[in-house]
Amino acid sequence: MHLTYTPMKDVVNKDFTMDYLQKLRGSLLVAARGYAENMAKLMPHCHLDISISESLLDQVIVDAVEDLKRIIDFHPTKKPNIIKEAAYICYWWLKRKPIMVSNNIASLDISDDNKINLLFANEVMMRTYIECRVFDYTNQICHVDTDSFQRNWRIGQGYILYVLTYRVESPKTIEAFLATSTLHPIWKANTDFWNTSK
Amino acid sequence: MIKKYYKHIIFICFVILIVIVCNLVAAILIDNERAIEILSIVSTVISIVLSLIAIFYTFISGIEVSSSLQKINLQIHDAAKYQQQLSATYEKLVDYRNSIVNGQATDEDSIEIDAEMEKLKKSMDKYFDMYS
Repeated sequence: MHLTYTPMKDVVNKDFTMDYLQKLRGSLLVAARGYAENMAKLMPHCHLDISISESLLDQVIVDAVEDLKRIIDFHPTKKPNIIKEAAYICYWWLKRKPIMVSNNIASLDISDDNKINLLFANEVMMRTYIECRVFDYTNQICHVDTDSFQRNWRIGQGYILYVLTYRVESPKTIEAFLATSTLHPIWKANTDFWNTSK
Repeated sequence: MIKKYYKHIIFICFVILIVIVCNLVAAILIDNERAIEILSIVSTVISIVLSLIAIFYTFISGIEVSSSLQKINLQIHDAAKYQQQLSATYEKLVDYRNSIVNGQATDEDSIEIDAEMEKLKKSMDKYFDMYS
């Protein structure tokens, strides 16, 4: 076993074209930028130094795509669904952690929740990314909107962040909770998982 | 020499002083005036020697402490200078990385935001509004 360097162009094949990789890369950059912008909005009085390593971002894509290729090669799957893709991207993102917050977080005059948002930047950003890859949060289809429901859901999001921070051992873990969360979606799902999967 | 063996010298002088004081007490008890006179002079001399050693040692220690402080000050100064250099490099690095996040250093075509990405971004903004 030894490490090898694989540039992004070398993982291109007929299933994972350069266009697909660039779109994936673009969506991750948009998501990272979205995270940085939202953190700046949440903490307007702080000068935040949030950055991303482009090399690690590329490596996340390379690692995730290599895994997705293996799924196609050894399973009857023709194309991995959104949930699977998001799960693998998330897994490798959390391994590589391309986002870096350079501030001394302890010294910032912000709430503990916001300190968590900065300290676990990659996990917070990835939670949002995978949730938004699977659901369209601008389109609520279940209108149960009681206080207790909102509270439960907020706690649920906290659990997801906890899992991403401390409990992710394989992409399957992420895939499992993403798949089950689509059973009765509150927001419109971006994939018809239960009718298209076999 | 004194600096190296000052502990031993002080110890020996102290022992001699105790012996002389004991002899002095004995001389006083047997009322020997000549012995009292000699022992008093000797004990005074030894006391003066001990005091001089103590003064000398304090002086030497003071010089050593001040030179150590000077060294530490220089090190702090060097560290501050190094820190400054590091900060400057680091700022450049952060600027570079930030510019990547902001899409400035990246080829516009490679992160062209299509409708799907726009939708993802809106969805993420909404999510952050609700759960951050």
